[in-house]
Amino acid sequence: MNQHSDNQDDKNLRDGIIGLGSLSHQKSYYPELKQKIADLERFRTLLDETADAIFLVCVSSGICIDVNRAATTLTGYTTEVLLRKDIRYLLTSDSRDYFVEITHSNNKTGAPFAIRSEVSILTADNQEIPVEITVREVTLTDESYYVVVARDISDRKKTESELEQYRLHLEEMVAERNEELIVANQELLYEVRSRIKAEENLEEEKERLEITLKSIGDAVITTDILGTITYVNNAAEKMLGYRIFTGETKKLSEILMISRDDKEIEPGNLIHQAIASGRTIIIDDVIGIFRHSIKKIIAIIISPIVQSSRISGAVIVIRDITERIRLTEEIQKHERLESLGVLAGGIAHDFNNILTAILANISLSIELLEEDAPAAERMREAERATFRAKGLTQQLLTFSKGGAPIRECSQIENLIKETAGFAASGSNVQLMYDFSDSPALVDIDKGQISQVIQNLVLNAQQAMPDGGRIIITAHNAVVGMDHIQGLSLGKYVRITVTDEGQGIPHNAIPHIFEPYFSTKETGNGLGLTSSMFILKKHQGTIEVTSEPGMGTTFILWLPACKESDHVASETVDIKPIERAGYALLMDDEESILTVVSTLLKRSGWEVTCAHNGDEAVRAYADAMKEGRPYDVVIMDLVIPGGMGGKEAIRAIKDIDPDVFAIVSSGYSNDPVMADPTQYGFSRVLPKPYKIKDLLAIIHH
Amino acid sequence: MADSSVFELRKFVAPEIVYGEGARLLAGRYCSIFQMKKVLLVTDPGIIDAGITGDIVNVLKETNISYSIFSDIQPNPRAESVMKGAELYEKNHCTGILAVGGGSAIDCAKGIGIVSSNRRHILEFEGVDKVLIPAPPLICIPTTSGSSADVSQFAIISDRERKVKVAIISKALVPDVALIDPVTLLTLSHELTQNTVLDALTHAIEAYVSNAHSSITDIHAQEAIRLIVKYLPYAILEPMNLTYRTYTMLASMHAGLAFSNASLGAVHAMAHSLGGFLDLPHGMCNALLLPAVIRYNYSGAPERYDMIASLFGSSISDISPENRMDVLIQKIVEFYNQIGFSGCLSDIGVNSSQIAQLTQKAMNDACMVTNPRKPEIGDIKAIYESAL
Repeated sequence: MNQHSDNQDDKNLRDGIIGLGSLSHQKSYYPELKQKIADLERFRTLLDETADAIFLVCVSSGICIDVNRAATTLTGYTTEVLLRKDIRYLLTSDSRDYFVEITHSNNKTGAPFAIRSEVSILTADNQEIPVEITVREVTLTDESYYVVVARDISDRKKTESELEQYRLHLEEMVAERNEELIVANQELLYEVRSRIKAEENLEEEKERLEITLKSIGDAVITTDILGTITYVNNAAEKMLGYRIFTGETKKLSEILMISRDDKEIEPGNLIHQAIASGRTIIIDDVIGIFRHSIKKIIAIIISPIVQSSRISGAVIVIRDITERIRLTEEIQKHERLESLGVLAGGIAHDFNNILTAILANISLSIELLEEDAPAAERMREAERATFRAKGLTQQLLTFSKGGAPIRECSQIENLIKETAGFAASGSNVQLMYDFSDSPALVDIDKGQISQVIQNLVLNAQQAMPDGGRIIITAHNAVVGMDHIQGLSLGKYVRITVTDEGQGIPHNAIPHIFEPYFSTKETGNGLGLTSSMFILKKHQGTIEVTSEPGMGTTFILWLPACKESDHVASETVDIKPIERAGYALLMDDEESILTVVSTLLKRSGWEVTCAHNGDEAVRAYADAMKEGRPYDVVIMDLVIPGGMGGKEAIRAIKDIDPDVFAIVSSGYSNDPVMADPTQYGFSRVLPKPYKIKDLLAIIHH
Repeated sequence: MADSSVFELRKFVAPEIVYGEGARLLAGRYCSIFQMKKVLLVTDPGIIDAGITGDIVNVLKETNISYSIFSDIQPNPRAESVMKGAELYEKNHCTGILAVGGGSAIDCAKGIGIVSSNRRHILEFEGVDKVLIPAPPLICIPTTSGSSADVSQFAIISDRERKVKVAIISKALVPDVALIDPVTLLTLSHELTQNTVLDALTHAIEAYVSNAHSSITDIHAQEAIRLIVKYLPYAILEPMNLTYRTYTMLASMHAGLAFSNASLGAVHAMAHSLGGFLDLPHGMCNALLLPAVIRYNYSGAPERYDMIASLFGSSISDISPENRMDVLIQKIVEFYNQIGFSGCLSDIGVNSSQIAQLTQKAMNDACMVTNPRKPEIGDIKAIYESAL
């Protein structure tokens, strides 16, 4: 055994026994008491801080033994007062009876009774407070107590009554609210109406836009970003032959093909390009191939649609530029013709002078020959050929600029009959006329219009190689709102020339007025072109309708004369020359002077020749001095390097205001030729002319 | 030669003591002071029969103290009795204990108290300082003049299963109040008077020679011895003489205060072993062992024993030191004879075959550590043998 540890144990034991050990202290309740007091205080706090009022009541006496703070708060009594009180006298009389009853019927099992019974507490200041009590009987050190726990339910009661009030209030509010609702409803109705109005406005706006889009002549198409068509306007519907139907979506490339120089351009690619680049793509002058393989020259503009800075698709505008192209081409042709006309005009003067000389010589030769001489017939044939040359020259001249018609107010019926009759003579066609409503006078260059009639009749005649009828009508017409292209409003005479031929092929119709276009092997392709030019220069127009196998109708529109024009045209009063007389002939062409003077002399006339204006004026002045003025003066209009007819007549008029002068020119475009009286001339005689025509004018 | 004990740490614990004729009648007042609305009145049937309990009950009734009586107690109180009493205490919602009786009733009451407050079995408290929670208030009215349990820190409980007396030693066992009334002794029998007073004498002698004695305990021990030596013989002769009873009661009290604080020695250690084993009267055991132990212990505290001898009327200075021990033992034996006490261990049924077992238990007794000599097993055996 370890002596040391044994000693240590003994020492510890001894210390304990004699009271020196760490636990060897005298019995003291204080620490435990302190602990219990702390526990109790904590418990007391717990009780006091409990919202429910707690009463410990002596069963035998009914006196409160203990109460918590809530009990004092509830009753309004101090603890000291409460601890002398019989709990029964803390209750209202009704509640007191109830309390006595329940405590008497208590079976003393220790289980709580009167659980959550409602009673009323009478407070120190005589107020009644509704409480809910739970009572339990307990036994502490042989004494029985009631533990009465009372909960103030006045708040709950108050809440209940408030709830009731609130319920009533709610009902009122519901009623009020209903009224408000009615008002709100009306406001809403108004709002709805406003919105409908706004929507209508929007709808109107949309409609306006729709109408605008519809009215645009260009085809407007919108697509989504994939090229699927989302909208087409009317023009597009017509052009594409496509209408958006519900349930059917198409891509633009399915209904439109584009080609340029025979290379196809995919419209989808163009849309993609526009959307990708965000830029407008303009492609001009390409061929669009539409449904039924209809080709049109189009300009196509593709722009991305930008909505709130996002591209949502593309808008495609297609313009049919066929007409523009055609017009451009026409203008180009016109320009070509005009230059031709300028050329023709340039040479026409000399050419007509030559033709005049040829014609005069032929006429003279025929007169010199025997009637049945073999050469006589050849000479007449030469004379006719000369006239055809004159006609060609005349047609070329119509294209030249400034070739203003020499217009006068004229009856149209006779002009038509004479011209048509002449043109159709010797053919197997039958001419029929209808002038049933006495067509008005028209302001025309008779020569030019005659030329048009002649062209048309010749065409009709050639369209019916086996013969047939040519029906010519002339009626009054008014061009109004349903105006015809190129015509201004007003009164017109509408002339139709209809044949019963094989008609003009459809595809040829657009081209028949083009120069050098001809369906005939022998045609020069200038007849209808010059006719068109002539009508345009008369502020009229020419149209054509034709059905293959059913014949062709040309329609001429000529402006009717105004009353004033009609009167003006009657001004010149010329006394006809009954007999052969004394004539002054001025021309720079020696051959013309020779042959015309010969011919006049053969008809009994005495002729003085002048080579220019100066000579003519001098000759006339001499004749006046001698007291024997010329009966007629025939002057060429243009004298190269000398005084022309225009200046000469002015001088002669100064000498003899009553002079009878005829202006003769191969240059019929000169304004003097259109309006000779304005310049002092009495008559016009275009070159080349037959001596018969000259004499007819002199003797008229 | 200087007394070394005054330079060492010492402690003195005593209950509130009311001494004198009629002290017992203050029981009601003290119960009220301690808020003991319901007391467990622990007593024994003998005391009840003697009418002592009845006086106390009347006092309680007068002061409106309710009570429950527990009297299922035998001499050398058993653990079972303690547990029963604790059960009753609990059941009746008692708030304090009033013990009226001799050492058995008071020790049992101490046991009930600590069991109730600590809620543990009584045998778990065996040893020193095992009581952690103080017991409920305990008021003691001693009815013998020997055990002094009413002022001591000891409780001796008999464990019948192990056949041992369990010593529970704790300052917490010191009662709150001791109402020491000599009147209770008037009905004490001759035999019990002998045993209990001899017990008190042993307490005083052992406390005086204890190695833990102090100046305070010395005074109490000497006074106890003086009073016993002087008055016990008269009390034996005139048991109804309240004056003599008063002195013996005082002697017991002094002895109690002395040994409760200075503890005891080999006599008690060996007497506990003997009492537990044979269920013999404690006082008698002590008295039979005392001379043999003095013979062994004398050399451990010769001056102290010499002082005791002088208290027995010896003129020590006239006696040579080597004879002084014998003189003391002779004086004690003479005193035994004077009061009519005699005998040896053999007389009460102890034989040599039991000595080894008794020795073993005695060696382990807590009282042994304050013995003036530290004995070996052989020493104790020899003492027992010499006491046969």
